[in-house]
Amino acid sequence: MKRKITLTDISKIKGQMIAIDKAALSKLPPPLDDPADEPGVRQLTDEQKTRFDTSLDGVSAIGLTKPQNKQEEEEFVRKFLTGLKKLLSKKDNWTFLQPLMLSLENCAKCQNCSDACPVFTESGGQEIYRPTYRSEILRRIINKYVKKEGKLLSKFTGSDIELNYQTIARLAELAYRCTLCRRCAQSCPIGVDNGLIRMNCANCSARKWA
Amino acid sequence: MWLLLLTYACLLIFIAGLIWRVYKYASLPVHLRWELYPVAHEVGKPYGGSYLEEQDWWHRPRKINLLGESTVFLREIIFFREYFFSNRRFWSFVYPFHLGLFLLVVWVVMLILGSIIALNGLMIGSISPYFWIQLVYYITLISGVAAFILGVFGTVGLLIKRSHDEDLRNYTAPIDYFNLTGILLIFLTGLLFWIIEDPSFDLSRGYTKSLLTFDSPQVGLIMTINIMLSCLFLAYMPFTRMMHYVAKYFTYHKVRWDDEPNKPGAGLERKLRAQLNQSTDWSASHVQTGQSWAEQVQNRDSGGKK
Repeated sequence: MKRKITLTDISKIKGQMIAIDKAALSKLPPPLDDPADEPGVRQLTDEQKTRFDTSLDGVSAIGLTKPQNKQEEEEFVRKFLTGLKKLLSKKDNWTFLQPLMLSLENCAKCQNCSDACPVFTESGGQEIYRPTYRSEILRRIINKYVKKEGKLLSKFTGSDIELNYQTIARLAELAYRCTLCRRCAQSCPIGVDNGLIRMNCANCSARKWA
Repeated sequence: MWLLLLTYACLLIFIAGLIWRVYKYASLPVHLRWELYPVAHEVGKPYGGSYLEEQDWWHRPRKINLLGESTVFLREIIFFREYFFSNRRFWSFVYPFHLGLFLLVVWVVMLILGSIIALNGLMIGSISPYFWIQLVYYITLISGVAAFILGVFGTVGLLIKRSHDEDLRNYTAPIDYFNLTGILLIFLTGLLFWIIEDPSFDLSRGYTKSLLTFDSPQVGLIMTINIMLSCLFLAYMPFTRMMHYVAKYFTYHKVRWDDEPNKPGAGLERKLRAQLNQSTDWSASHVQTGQSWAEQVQNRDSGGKK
């Protein structure tokens, strides 16, 4: 049996994390119910693959280019962390700080939102598209690298995600595998909004932080 | 005596932590509109829609259905309706678990009430000549026993589900097992001291009375362990995500259902104005570093970046 993707895999798996399996996708209603008629996902050329980061699922939604050397990679991680800190500050992210903090600090990880997510369910239940997947990774990165939990506490709280270029690139791509329909928020008994976390995740990679 | 001091110390930490939690969320800046429809206090719009869609809404007094809002909120809190309809298997553990916690609170309130009655020289028990005292006695007994039984069942169920269901296990950290085990021990020692040491909860009532009078309490060994565990857990709770019941007020009332109109001169406008005067530390294709939020919008409205 194929091993299920875990949270820490986002920084560990070499190459492409998953491939979108046409056969696993939900069947469309007639007259589009014959899988043979479905065009599937167009594959990028080898040249495009060398230029853009497609390590999440073979698709590049944001056209992220890979760093050319170690220095560029470190700079990329540094900028992401700067952005993440500002995302949690009253001055720089007042527009959504209250709902963001509420959602980051109170998820019970019951997965009630998963079945409400059309991207997750229609993909055939691909783990990386689960609404809590990207949220939990961002939450654990914040605990470890922004709140600076010690090594021991990080292990205890499960904040054991390694932050490198690959993690950020995949997380940024993952932010665009959500339609922001907020069905996940509607189905959460606590009121946690994974759509909002995804939106802030996208902001973090799209903004230029001074 | 040390047990009484521990109880008071932990209770104080819990109250301080609770206030800190509430203040932390309440003091965060006003956020942009992010309501999710249907909004429970909207009048006559059970499937969505808003008064904001109506023509000249600002000329009419705003109607708020507080009863409707309270019904939806209480239905969710009391019955865990969302889980019941979307994840029945999970509900069968998560509901008894939370019901156990609610009943534990009822039990403590009843113990306090019973202690006050005892302090006034009245006897608590099933043979009391007063019906209302009998009622306090039986509610104490039923809520306590039900809390411990439901709590043990729910916590064991959640521990099994979290460790066996792959979808949950991958997202469960050691701290989650630690928290659940802690709660299980509280319920379990509670159940044991009821069976072995305190079948009518007279000792528990006596301990609660000691908390009010500072007399030396009479407690059994299992009850001592239970009190210690409960107190330490109470002091630890405000600093964990087990306080999601505090967050739930904000996520529902201050985010999901907050459709407060932004009227000129009203409190919301004043709060927003203060935020709009802050400068930004970041830039994007539509935002310049260093300009205030208000300036960014004015520049866009005037047709270009300055």
